Amino acid sequence: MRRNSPKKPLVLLLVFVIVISTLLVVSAKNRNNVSWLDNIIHFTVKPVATFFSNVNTSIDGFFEYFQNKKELVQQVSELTYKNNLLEQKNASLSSLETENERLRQLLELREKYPEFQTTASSVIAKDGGNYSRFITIDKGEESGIKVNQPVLSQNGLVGLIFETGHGWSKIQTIVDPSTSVGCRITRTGDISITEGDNALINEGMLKLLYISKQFTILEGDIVETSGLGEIYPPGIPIGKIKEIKVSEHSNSQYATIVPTVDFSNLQEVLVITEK
Amino acid sequence: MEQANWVKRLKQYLLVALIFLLQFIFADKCRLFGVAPNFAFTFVLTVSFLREQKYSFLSALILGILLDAVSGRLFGPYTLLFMTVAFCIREFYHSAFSENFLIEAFYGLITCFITSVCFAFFISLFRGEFFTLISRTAWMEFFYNFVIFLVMLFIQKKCKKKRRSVFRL
Repeated sequence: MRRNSPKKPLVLLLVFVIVISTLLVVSAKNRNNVSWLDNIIHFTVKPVATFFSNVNTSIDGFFEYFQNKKELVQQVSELTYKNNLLEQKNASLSSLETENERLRQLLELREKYPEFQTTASSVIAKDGGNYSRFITIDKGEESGIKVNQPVLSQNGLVGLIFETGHGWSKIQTIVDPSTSVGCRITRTGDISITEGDNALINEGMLKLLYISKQFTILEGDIVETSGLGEIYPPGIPIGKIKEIKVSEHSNSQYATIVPTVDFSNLQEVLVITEK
Repeated sequence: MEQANWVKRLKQYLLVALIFLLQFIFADKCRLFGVAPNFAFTFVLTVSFLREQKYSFLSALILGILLDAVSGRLFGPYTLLFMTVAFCIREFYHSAFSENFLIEAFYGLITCFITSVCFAFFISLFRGEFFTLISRTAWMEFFYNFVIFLVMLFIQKKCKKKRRSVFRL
């Protein structure tokens, strides 16, 4: 059995202190000349010091990287947020600009027909069916809207009021197969009738009927309301002639018209409440 | 249990509202060769294959009335059509077959075809030109609706399968 001597550590400590003190005295004795002891000490300590120094640098760099990364991530997040805000603002301004343009055009339209009393209204629903084209707007009889009143947009004729209630009205558009409008070819002054058509409804077009052989209409001619039917005032653009055809059933001619109004993007309309 | 039923009902009727919004907002934007799909019709057809008949009849009624209110000049054709579809599926499918995807798809195909032809015929009673309506609108409408029905039926089956596996767990 090994016996522990209580004096052994104390002796070791004493030896260690003496050695260190001797080294201290020897090294402090002449600072001008590097002693052999200094060399030994530095030679021994250098690799260890270098190693720890490198480790320290690496650790510092490591934490600095994370610190910088944290800052960069924060900056990126702030910039992304700012960018999103600006994008939103930009989108909102673009939307306001478009709305402003639309309203300005409506105002121009209203000024174009100063003799009529009109009510501006927004489109709230479009008939998603395939056999008819109706549009619902957000104003009704409380705004003086009545059945058979004409409806316009900034680009031309939309249709007429088909039904009205409190806070809503249904418009029968000019491309609906049940609608016909008295019209005039702007260039020649020839009078005719436009009508919605079963075959053209899904292409968003309408038909120009009763084209006499004396008519000298051309593709691209503008068609406007004639004002003869007592519903629509004269001079409102309806559309442009796309093609002149000969009917399959009879020998008569008809033309297809592309409406000036883009029904898929229609948002605001003007109802003529009093002529 | 009662609360779970209540939540389920709420979800079902929110789905009906969502389908109406889909029809109301997107149908006009989803036109293919000028023909719009009828999401409401395909939804009614899909839920008719569920064994919850009360829900299928109620959704047919709600969607039919809403669609009639916003479209066309006559009130009633959509309500009538949707209720008829729900009734016919109950009579001719549920009484004869158990759940089967292929038979449901076949029934859907027939229903879409008959509906498009009948609608074209109904419109032609007022305006004539039955064959023009068939060639220009009805066949495309049939095809479009059938494709959407298949997608809805597939989603319905997936949801049902998932729900079953959750209950089994």
